[in-house]
Amino acid sequence: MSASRKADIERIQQAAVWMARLWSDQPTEREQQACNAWRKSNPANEKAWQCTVNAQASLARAPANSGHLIARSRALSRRNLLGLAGFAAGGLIFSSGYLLRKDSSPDSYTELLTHVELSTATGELKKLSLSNNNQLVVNTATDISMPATNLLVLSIGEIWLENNGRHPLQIKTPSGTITHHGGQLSVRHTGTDSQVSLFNGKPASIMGRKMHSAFTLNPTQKINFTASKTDSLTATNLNEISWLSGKLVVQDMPLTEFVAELSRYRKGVLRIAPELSHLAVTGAFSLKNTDLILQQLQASLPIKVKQLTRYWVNICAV
Amino acid sequence: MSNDMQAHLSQLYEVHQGWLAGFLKRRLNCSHQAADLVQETYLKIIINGKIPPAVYARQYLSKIAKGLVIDHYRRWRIEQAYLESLQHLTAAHQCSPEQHLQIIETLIEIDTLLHNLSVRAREAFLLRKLEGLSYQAIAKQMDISVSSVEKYVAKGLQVCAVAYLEQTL
Repeated sequence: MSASRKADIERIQQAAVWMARLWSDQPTEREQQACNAWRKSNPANEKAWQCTVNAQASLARAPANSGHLIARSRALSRRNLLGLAGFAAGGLIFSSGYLLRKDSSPDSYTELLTHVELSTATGELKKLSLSNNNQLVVNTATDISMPATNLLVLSIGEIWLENNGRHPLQIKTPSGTITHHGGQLSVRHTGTDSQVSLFNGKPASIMGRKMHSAFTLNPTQKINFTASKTDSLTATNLNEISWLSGKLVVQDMPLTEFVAELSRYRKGVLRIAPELSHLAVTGAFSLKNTDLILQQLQASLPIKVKQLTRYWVNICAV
Repeated sequence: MSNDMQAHLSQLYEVHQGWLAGFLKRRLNCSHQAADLVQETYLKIIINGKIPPAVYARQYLSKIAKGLVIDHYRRWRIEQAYLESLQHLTAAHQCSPEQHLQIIETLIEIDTLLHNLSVRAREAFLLRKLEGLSYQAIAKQMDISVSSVEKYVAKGLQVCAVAYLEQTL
């Protein structure tokens, strides 16, 4: 690297530190003036400042959820690079953690698990054993990580968890934190809210990120919540965990909702005309072949499935 | 293109395209895509207008090819993540194929720009820049101190600017 280039990069580093200071929650008047003085003191400083400003042009065009998209895409690529063998290794990290815990200190276990991350691709299902023989099943298009032994982070997707009740486990979603004391529960975070169903076991407590107090979820109860508010409690529905056996089981589900569910398991875009919302679906469908499910729907309902490309399917009225 | 260059280029193609196709096939796991990227590798050489000397040819070709594979995977994973995200949008958010393409291009640009950033620094930087969260809110969400947030944001700004500087050189 040439000396002048090295100097350019050093100036950019300074400009970045100044800008980060001014972006803070309460930059002072004095800091503002000091930054201006730094910019004026040398034309090269001003150039570095402008470069730092201009570099962000593409960010201005970015959709708001770019951060999640980029994180998810990197998770996909990590998975892609690891390949299938690597995936088994992902499972092994969890299981060997379990073995380690038996005869060494818990600390080394935590250290071993730091930043373990796992992703499933669309249509993939992954079963894992956690410490204490707790069982975890990860549904389609899901990103999870385990920064500590008793903390599981679900960034997007759906998991099913069986906690044998020896230690509480915290599950963090973008909406908030669920403290699971034991039993079987499923957690899903796909759109903007998180959904928790506690099938059995001990009551769980849930705290939205912006809530002031936690609330309790009792066995056989299900709830939808966002960072700041909750919907009303409903009863758990076993059909909702039919994915555990590779099936989609529904009863009188509006077709539009069914298609939204199906699309979680299918690569590409699946769209349905809104005027078809009056139709309903009942049945058990195998998720192994989503093309077949589309054919079954077309055979039994007054709809037309139009395949524009393999990855783009529109469903409309006949 | 001069006759001289054309002759050199055909020679470069004849001698090297065989191993290059194999090299790309191993990385892409698909012979069709490998064949496409062989063409793109030579296209890059034509655009640059510089034929590498015979002793460096192999090194030069594999360097270009490696870059193309990285770009290929970057586009692939971003397209996948974007397609997945479309599922969560309602019909009201539908946009034209050109707009989809533009968003994907922008995402690829951002991903390239932020490539040399750690996961946490990228997260903090994007939360501030794109979602407009305060340092305090980011600190709470990521469970780190406010001063770490500021450090991560500075790192993000720096990496962006350096990548930009390199692109404009």
